[in-house]
Amino acid sequence: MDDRILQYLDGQLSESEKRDFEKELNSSPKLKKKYDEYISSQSELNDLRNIEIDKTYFNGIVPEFRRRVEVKKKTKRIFSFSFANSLAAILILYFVLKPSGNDLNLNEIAKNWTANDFDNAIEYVEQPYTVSDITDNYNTAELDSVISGILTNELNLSSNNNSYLIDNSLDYNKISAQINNTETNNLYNKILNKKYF
Amino acid sequence: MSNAEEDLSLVKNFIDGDETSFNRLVLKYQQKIYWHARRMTGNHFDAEEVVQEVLMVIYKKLKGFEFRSSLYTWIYTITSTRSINFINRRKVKESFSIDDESFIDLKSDEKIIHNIETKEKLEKLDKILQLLPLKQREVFILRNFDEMNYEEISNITGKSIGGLKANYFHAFKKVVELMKEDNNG
Repeated sequence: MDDRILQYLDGQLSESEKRDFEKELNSSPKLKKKYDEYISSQSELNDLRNIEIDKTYFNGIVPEFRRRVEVKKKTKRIFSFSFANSLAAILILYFVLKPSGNDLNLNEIAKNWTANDFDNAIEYVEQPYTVSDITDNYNTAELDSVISGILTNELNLSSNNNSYLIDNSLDYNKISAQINNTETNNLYNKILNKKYF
Repeated sequence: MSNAEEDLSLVKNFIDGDETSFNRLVLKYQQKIYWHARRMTGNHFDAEEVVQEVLMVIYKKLKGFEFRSSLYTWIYTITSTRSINFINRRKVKESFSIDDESFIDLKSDEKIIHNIETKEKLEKLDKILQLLPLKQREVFILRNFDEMNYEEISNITGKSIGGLKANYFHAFKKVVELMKEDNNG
């Protein structure tokens, strides 16, 4: 019964089906009662289609958006880049050095995060910026310098150790083949406990 | 100038570097974006955030918009997707207990709706819509409030028209039941 009422209200019945339905509506009190319930709800919903709300809110949307654009322009690139490295480091090291039998424990990773870290992580995963958005803005030398700067800060190293920070020849599979399970577990725990940002 | 022509002109001007054209687009669509987000998320506080996210996405992607669909449909697709993402994020946050309900400013409606009766009706609707499964809620809002036909909804959601009709009817039945319960209780 409900489906026919809905089809009727939704304009899904053919002309002849519509006529039959209307005829039945006049002769069946049960159908009429149910139909009236739908009409009453529909009418309540219609009232809520065009609600008047304070114009001040809508007038403020564009200024608020422009403010956010300015803030994003100033901060987003550096943050995304730093966070990308941190996240990439966690994920690469986790998958390469993953202790056997252990699954990625998100609760463990996230337990020291602040609400802000969490928002940033989610925002990063949703990827409003692509890697090319970041790299397009730096040439290779600048990119190396930015990465080294971030890593130096994160690892509290003196600046003359920078040259050791980026080594593209590292083969993580070879490293993992050379260390035993205990060492892998130790590294894994250190990664989990490290505050990257 | 037709609606579509006006959109095309604003987008072209924006691509040519006229930032005020973007502002005009926002003014044209902001209420639709807000109300869709509001009905999806169930409160002003979250809707406000989704509106800003949607604008940011439009701003960044508009230069690549090729008018394969209407701008209107495209904006709704972004709004709907962002609303669903926001709701999912909210669920994740709640499961990590980072935010609780007290974080949401439930009194924020008072700032934007001055009529008490309207405010109460809207709160009731917010509550009822939140009880619908997300996909049903999306279809119900697009069909009932945004007054779209099934073909437009299908373009936005990527779902078949048959499936959308089934979702809409399920949602409508549930809304009627919940409204009846609320009116009796």
